Amino acid sequence: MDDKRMTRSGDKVRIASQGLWKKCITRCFPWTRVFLSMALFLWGGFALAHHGGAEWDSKTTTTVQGTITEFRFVNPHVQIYFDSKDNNGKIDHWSCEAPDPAMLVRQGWTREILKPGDHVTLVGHPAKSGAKMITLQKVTLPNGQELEARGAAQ
Amino acid sequence: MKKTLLNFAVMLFVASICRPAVAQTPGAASDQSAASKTAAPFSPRDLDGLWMPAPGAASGPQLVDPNAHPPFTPWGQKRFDASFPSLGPRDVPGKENDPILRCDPDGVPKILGSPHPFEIFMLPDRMLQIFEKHHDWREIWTDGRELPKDPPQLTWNGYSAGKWKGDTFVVESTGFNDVPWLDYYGDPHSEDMHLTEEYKRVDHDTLTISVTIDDPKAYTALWVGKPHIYTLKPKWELQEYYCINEDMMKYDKDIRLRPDASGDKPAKSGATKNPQK
Repeated sequence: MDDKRMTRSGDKVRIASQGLWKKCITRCFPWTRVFLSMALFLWGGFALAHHGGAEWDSKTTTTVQGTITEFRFVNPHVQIYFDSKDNNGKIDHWSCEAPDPAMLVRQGWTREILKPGDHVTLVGHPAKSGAKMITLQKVTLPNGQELEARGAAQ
Repeated sequence: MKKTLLNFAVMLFVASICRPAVAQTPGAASDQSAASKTAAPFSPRDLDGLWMPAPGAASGPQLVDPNAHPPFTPWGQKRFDASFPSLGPRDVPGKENDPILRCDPDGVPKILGSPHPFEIFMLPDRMLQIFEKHHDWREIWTDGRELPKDPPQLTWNGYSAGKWKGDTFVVESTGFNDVPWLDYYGDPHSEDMHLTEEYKRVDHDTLTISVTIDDPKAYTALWVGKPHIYTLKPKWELQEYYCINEDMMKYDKDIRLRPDASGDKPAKSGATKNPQK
């Protein structure tokens, strides 16, 4: 219905249609891409970024390593603030938005899962504006554990 | 024929492996186990349980069908033009004015489209709905009472009465205030809205809710929705989700309304970007 809801499923369509799969499927039947897209959308769920605001580049995934400065486990969105060195050694201050605590608890998160000083790797969609902001998809904790950050109904 | 069969098999396989992974944590249900229970016996008149909007296009945040949008009345058009939603083609980042951005309740029926779970309890004289979002709740009276012709107050969730018609639980509601939107796309409703909801348990794990909006002050015709699909989550527990204004204001200041949050410029940072082809 709109781009934000299509985000995750759209990504999967792109990934799934690469390489040998793409070659095989498109040869077999010209409408396959259409059917496959519909099937993946129905399977894949939708993302609802109901609070608007920052425009996220859902076609790009960014990986950032940084050190946590603040972790807010609150509604309407969990927020992670961290510092990251750029290629020139300059420290950037980043803001990261994640789904609400209720949905994250179901994915193994707790209010103390991140602490100031923790060195983590965050994967998410960046802000289109180029601001040091991402909307989180996954975080790797200092102990190597990966936690997903799927939004409601994804 | 052979190619078609091969194509179908490939499509199913690819779609299956692309299903979202499900968190295996306490309180989180497995979609796979839920799917295997679909054929389990059930009573169509038992709506008890914790229900979550199902992933998929049919369960987006809009209960009404956007393709069947009736024309606005002048009042409806004026309210629609004044709305700046957070979703859809009319979203202008930073200018959104959805009432939920100030922690207002979603209201009914909008909250039924919110992608958060809610729990149904069928009591002897009412259906009780408890929503995770806003920790909100709603009573639907089943003791045979009629809707009040002149409700003592106009509320976010309205005044509701329900009864069974066959295996469909039909809810009629009036008495709404006109502050909340009908949906996340800025469509309004007025104090005159008469809402009809039809609940149908189609199998052990699936509930559908269909709504019909009768609001002559806002729309020139009935607005009929398609069945909205919900999945039973027997292992989930409702979590507390209050919207706290102080937290919202901090979030607005530090992320949502940050001056540099909108626009379209290339990022300049040490981050590793992986454009998805």
